Amino acid sequence: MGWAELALSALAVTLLGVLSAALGQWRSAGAGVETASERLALDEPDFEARDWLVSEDGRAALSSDGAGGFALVFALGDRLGSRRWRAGERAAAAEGTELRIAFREPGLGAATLQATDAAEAARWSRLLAGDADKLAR
Amino acid sequence: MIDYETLPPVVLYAIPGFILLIIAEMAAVRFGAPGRYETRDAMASLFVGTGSRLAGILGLGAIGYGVWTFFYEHRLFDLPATWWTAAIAFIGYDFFYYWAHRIYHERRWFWADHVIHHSSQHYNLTTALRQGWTGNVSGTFVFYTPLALLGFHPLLLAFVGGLNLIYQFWIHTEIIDRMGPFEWVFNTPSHHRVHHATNPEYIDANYAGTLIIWDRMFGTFVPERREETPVYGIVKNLRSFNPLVIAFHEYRSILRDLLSARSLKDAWGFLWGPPGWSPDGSRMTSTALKERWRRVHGGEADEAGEAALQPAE
Repeated sequence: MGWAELALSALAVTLLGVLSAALGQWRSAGAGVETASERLALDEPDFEARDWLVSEDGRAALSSDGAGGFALVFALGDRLGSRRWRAGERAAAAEGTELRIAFREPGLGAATLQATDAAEAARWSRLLAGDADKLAR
Repeated sequence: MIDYETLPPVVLYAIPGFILLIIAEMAAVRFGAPGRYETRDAMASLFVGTGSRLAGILGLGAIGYGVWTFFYEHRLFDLPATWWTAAIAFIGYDFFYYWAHRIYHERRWFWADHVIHHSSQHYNLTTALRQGWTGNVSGTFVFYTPLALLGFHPLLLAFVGGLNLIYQFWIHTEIIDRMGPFEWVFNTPSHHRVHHATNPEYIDANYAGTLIIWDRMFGTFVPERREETPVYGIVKNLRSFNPLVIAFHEYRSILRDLLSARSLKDAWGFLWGPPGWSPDGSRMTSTALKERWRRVHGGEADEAGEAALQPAE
């Protein structure tokens, strides 16, 4: 068998993928405040979200606890995942309305959120950098 | 008498059955049966499963087989090649599987391979095939060497290992609810849903392969509670469907940690400590996750979760 088995398996996987999509199972979750809060309640039950930046594309939501703690909720397919960290622990940069947060994890990569305007993106960038004076608007 | 040379490659023969059952489950879920599929997640699981076969094709299985053969050549007993011996081998393999599986969860070096199986946030038959690629390199076969030393032939061990894997395929489903008295002795979909859940009440429980009696005997059995729906995945879920990321992400994390280690003790902890271990305690092990859950939920934990938490400690 060997390589023939492998080729057949790959073909079968592709056909199963087509069948699954045909059955309407290609789905995407949205990370809004409500769904992101629910996910954080599971993953980080002691995190108290005070402020939110929900990406315009609905694929990620960033939250601050107002005391230098942050949590990101992101979508993968029809599920959500999360990460939590302290201000200054992750590099963040705002460029226009985009806020980019760098994660050094192999399974995560960088997260990009679309803010409503450039000022909002810049404000979150400053918060993430750990400037406590700017925690309030 | 059994001729071990003629024992079939059962996992290979089971693949068409796996595919048919996946199609059946996929369709059943579409038309209202319990469970959920997401196309990219299912394809990722199946491609990862295909990759795990690649490891076998490349001959990595020879490493474990060679080690078993070495121990078999120094065996303590000459066991007859009968079906009774095969039945005892199956139960013996399942016993060592329990301990191996428990250690996969408790030691990061082995977790790096096994995390692959847990990395889907879905629980369906495709999840069963999301298997690690590196078990033969990381040394997971060592846990079964006592069986070879006792006199069980390596070909018989490979055969019963295949049967054990096939048994575990069908329990990766949400379609089957509880199974009555069968649940007392055998691993079932309900028991294994608990094993795949990240709910703090369910973490580190139900390591069994075929027989759940091992968990009941060694204090790691936790029943599925109707009021606590399992949430599947890992503590830090991935944001990728890429099979290569799924297969190697934890090894890359280990390497990064080793490069940042400030002492041999730290390096040892990163490699052989429990998943989530860090020198300064800033990350969370499963024990820390459970403690946090108790702290946050307080009385609720005492009333509702205590029974579930206790056996897993």
